Amino acid sequence: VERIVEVARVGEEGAHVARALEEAAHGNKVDGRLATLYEKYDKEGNFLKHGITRHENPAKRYTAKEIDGGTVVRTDRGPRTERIKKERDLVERRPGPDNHDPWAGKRLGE
Amino acid sequence: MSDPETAFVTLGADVGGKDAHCATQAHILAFRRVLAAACRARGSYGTRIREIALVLRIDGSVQAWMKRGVEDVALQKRNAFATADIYIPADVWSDGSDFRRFLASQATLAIGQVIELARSKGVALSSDILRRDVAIAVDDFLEA
Repeated sequence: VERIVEVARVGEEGAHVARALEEAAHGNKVDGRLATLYEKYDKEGNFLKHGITRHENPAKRYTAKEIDGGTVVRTDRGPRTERIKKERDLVERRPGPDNHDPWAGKRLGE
Repeated sequence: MSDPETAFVTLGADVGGKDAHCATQAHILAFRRVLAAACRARGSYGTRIREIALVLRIDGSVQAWMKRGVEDVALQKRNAFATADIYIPADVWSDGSDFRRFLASQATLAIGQVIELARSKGVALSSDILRRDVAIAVDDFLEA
């Protein structure tokens, strides 16, 4: 049973890696284009997640639906490749409840 | 008092940096609370609009739009959803005493523009009650 659970866990991570590779191959490329890191908070001010923009235009506004009555704070901007690394680092060390990546919290408190 | 989850008037924020967030967060949370307290739940001001979503666009160290005041007032009849952006330049929040007054006055203005837009499109909205409830929220906010 432990082996089955292990295989399932590896499979789940593999699926995420495969999806990231697929995204890299189709438009959502990991390259030197600019990207923006953000933090999202709910209506009460509770932290929800770290995220990174998918759109290239940094001035593009988040829609009212995306913000959903809460707050989005743009925290950093720079080359997309570096921002992705930074986001992953933040999600590993200080994830929010809406960061559902398999690596969320893997280095909690570091 | 309406639940924040079903509030008719919501106040979102798209904040351009941590500096702006630190300076404005407490005021925004306070204004959200008084709006939820003074305004009624969705459906109370008419059934054609379920929500008015005000969105603050606050200039900060990472992103600055360099605009001031209410823009982009829109009404999506299909989704029963009205929106208005309120642009806030850094000079407004860097002087803390002005931020609350600016926020209150621009929110009142934005609600007024949504009401006018709804009227021009023939969408029923209990505008007098809405204006009164928002005025109560603004008074509470500025007195706190």
